[in-house]
Amino acid sequence: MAPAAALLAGIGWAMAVASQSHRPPADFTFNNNSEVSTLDPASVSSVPEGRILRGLYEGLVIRDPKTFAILPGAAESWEVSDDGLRYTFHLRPSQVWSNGDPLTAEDFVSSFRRVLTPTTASPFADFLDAVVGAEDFQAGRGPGGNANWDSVGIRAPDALTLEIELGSARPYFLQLLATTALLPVHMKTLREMQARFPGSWNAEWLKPENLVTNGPYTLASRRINDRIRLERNPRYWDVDHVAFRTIDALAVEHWGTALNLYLTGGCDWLDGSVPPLYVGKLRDREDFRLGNSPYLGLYFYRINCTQPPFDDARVRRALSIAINRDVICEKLLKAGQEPCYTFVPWGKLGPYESPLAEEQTLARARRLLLDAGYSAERPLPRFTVHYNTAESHRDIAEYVASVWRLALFADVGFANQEWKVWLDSQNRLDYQISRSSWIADYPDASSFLGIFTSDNPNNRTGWKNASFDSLMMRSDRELDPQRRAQLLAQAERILLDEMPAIPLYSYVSQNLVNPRLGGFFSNPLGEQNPKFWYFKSDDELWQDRRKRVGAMEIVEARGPAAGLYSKAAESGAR
Amino acid sequence: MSLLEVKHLRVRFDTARGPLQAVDEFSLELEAGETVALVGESGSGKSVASQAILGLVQSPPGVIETGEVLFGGENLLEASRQRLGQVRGREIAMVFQDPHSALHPLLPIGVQLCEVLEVHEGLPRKEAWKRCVRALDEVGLSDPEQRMEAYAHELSGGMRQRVLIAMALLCRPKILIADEPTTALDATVQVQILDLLRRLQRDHGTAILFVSHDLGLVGRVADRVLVMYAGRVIESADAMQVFERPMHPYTLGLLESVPRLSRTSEMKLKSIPGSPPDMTQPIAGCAFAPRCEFVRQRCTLERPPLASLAKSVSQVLLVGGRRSACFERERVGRAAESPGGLPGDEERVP
Amino acid sequence: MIGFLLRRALWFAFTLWAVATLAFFLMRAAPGGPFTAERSVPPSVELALRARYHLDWPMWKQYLSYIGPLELGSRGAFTGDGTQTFGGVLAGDFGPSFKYRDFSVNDVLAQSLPVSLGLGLTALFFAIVIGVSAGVLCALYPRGKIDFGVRLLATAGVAIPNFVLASMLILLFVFLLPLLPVAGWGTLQHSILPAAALGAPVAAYIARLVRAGLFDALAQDYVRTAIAKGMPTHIVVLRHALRAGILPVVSYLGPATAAILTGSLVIEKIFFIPGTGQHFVNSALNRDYTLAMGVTILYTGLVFFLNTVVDVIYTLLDPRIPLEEA
Repeated sequence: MAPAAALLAGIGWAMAVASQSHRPPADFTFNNNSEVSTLDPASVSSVPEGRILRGLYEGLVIRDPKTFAILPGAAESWEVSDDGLRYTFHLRPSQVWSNGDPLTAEDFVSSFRRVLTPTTASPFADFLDAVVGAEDFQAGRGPGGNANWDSVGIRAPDALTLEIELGSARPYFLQLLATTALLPVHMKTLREMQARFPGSWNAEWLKPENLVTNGPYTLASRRINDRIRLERNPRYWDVDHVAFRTIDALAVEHWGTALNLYLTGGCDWLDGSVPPLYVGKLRDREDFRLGNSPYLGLYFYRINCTQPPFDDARVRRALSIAINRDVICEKLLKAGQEPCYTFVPWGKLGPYESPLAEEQTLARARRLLLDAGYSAERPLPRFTVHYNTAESHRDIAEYVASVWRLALFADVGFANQEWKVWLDSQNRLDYQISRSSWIADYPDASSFLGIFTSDNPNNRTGWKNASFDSLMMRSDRELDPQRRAQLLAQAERILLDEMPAIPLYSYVSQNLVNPRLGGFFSNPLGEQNPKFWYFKSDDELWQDRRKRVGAMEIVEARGPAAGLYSKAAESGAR
Repeated sequence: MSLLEVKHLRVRFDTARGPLQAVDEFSLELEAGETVALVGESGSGKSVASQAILGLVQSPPGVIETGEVLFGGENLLEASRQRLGQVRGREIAMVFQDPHSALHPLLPIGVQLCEVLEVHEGLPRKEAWKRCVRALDEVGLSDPEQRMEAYAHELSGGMRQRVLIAMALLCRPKILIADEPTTALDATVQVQILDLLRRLQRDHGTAILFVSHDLGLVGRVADRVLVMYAGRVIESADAMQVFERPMHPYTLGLLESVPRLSRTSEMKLKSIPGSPPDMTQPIAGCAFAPRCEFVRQRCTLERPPLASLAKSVSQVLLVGGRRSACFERERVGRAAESPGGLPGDEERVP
Repeated sequence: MIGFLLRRALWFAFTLWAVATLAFFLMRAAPGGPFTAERSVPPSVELALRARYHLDWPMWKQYLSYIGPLELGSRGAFTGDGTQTFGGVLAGDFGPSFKYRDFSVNDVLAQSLPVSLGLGLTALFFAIVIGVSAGVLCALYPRGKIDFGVRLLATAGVAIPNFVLASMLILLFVFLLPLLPVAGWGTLQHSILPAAALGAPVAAYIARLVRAGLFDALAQDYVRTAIAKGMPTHIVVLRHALRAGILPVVSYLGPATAAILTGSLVIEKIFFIPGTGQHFVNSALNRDYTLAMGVTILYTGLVFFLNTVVDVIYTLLDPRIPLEEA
């Protein structure tokens, strides 16, 4: 027995030791909330992937993390023709990839071609829909029935010039180019891996030892459900403006664990929705940034508009009007979320402003129901609210169902569904009312309104409206911001009259950030560019604290007292 | 001074139904080289009494209320756990009733033997092993070397009892307590084991306390016999005397229930009617009274003492240390001498 | 012995096949698929994705290509560009992961299994050492304060869910006494709290088994024999009683291993450990068919293997039981 136990212990410790991969901590560590599903820019665009991809790659243009204004990226300048159809980008001379290969316009051409190639299965191919010939290429249509790249309006007349020709104008085309979907990839590595690993090249070219990138950081190591280690790319053109030598992105999914790590110095930044229980405890800390920053996310209930009684817009409107969103935000969520009555969260986005929502009174809701033929005597037939399994979803569903039961005499049940089951039943329109949410791909109202067009796979309500579709189509091509906003507002007016879904609240971003971190801005997309991050010195930190309005609990700012600045910032200071 | 002297031992078990007086006023003397048999039905307290000598009564529920166990002048009941450990197995060894369960099923025989010598004599395993092989040979086990490697389940009942006897005698103890050593064995094997015990006793001069319910068997080995009933010794005598002229109706009953080849046809095999008393209840008179054919009124009121038969000093020579706890012992003795005869009516006078 | 092992090997193969087949079809019967996401992809993209992983093949063909290194003609509609090919389970290739698209299932398991085994074996060792010692203490001082305390702790250990225990340990050893790291997997200190939390219920159960087993054994005739032989208490308890009293623990080691492997999900989550336990559940939730299959097959094999080891150990400890019946 004793030798058996000793053997067991020996193996156990050996395994434990062997599986350790202790590295010195990175200059900066943050929690990325989940394991990124891939580092292939053409395949994903979620928030966690975005943070890594923006560190690894750099597109033609980038977004200012504070204002979302378009800044030069790999292209140092560009021209747009007056009709908005022709874009000419001028790349920085002598830019190189992390392996030393020169970065040329041809790299962008082949990367965009890859996004449009059907076998890449990129969900973002439609970002390039407006490009001349792109749709034909994607669908495999062309002269002689073959896809023909030559007729697609993406060309590189020389190594540093990239021309993109659109078939119809897209006012937000530069914003699309700033998304992670259109980052350049090193096609040479990809082809090499294809040749070397015909079975598994899809994974091989993204491994740390193979991946070639052009951004401020390179991929040093990666362990699933643990961490991604980024290392400053010495060949990056603007490396003098990059402060951190190493960055660790953790994949902690459990919020409590992330908080524990943060409190014990294991990470410098974490975001995600703070459980209401903790909000009170954290509210006054200077490192907790809450409610002060709207987030472009909308929490809403989809309605299956193909089934009675929900095929009647009056019923849908009545259901929406009856819900008191204030209760949800103040009593259930408590973290600064804002009640929302429109389909664009926060009711406005840039130059766009949502039309006014209907008056929210119970009497009106009952009136609408009565018009539709339902009353206390003739109540709505029994229906169920579905949500994916999570405590906060259940609380909200419980509240909403009780309101409908008491105020509208509806016989409502609510039931949870496992994530994929819930998605599947939405896709198959096998539900009555189902919890949903939507996060903007790019900061534009069309990112929210667009999902309700008839052919959008994210519609999932069965609702179709021809005039809505045509308004959305026209807004897509309207270059004048004023007129475009009007078209979108008309479209949203239709949504508000028809209510294929019930908006409930707008998201806020919630961050716990080491007060020392600079170059970090809470923004409506939760988008961060690691390039801009640095650590403030104690001096700068105290200057910031003095400027601040209102009392806050000062917390320890971990990190070097002298801060950690980029070379450029240091020499600038001197 | 006797080798072992037990005085006024009282053992109680605290059961769910109340205290149970398992052994009461038990006294015993054992001389070197002598064999004393402790006889009684199951539940008579004989096993408990014998185990109490080595402090083997499980506590709880067992409680030793009073008494002394004097071994070489030392009261074992007050000895430390460590001292008891030295006495057990080395000075006083024990062989138990059921050889099927008395050996460890998961340890090789050799290990179980060797550890006795390792602990008591500090022998290294190798030497202990050699001596154990010899010991197995001595108790008549064939292939002793192979047997050392065997497990208990690979041996027959008789072989196991031989192993246990060898184990008990490894350290040449002065006293061997054999608690029903043959009960679980076949008749032929029983005889072999008894012969073995006798031979070993002759060779080593070991005193044996032989505990058994079988008076017939006892006749083959014992020098003296103590008969127990309901926790008390009710008769004590030399073996021959007991068989020739039992002086307690219970002893008589036991004798009459022993099948014997010498029994003539009219000497019917009898059993004692009734069953032993519930020992959680206090007993006023003689505990055997309810089952006794010689019973008189006095027996139910007064407990008969274990009195010497000798009425005067001169008689001691005649009857020896013979004792009986019966008011009617003379009547019993006479009845025993007239085989098959019942006590006459004329004698049943108050 | 050899016959036994051969028979076991045959059963092993059969069990693996049955589990793999069952898991294969059950996974595909679940609603939703690996590419179902809140942000729906255009139908053409989903088609291309399904083609890449051959989910467009008929079920039998998918099954055969998953099981064996069979050459089934052209691999999908987009041979040469984008399609994933793999050798099949018989060739030791579990295929690409659907969720972790940059990794093959083999990669995922190779990364996480040493972590889980390290954690699991440490927890098991901890559980055996603590459990057996506690049980022996109970037997040495029966019905005393120690016995009572151990029984109390053991009952608590079995009853308290390991995530609650984990939280208490974190509170104690990280926040009250800053001795150990709160989460992560990097140094040996990192493994102490999770192994304790993971092993505690098992330790508690083992303590109860040992206590009961020892009490039972101490009442046996052969223990009385040992006492009558004058064996000191430690030999009586450790050599005689424990040898029999430990047998139920050995039988329990199989289920205990399974419990530790599957129970590590929660612990891995709380302590942020990149082990296999999370994949065991999450792969099914993500409809990551290949990873779910890989983990299932791996765990089946592991549990089967460990049970066989336990059976062999059992027969070594108890010569009365022939190996064939174990």
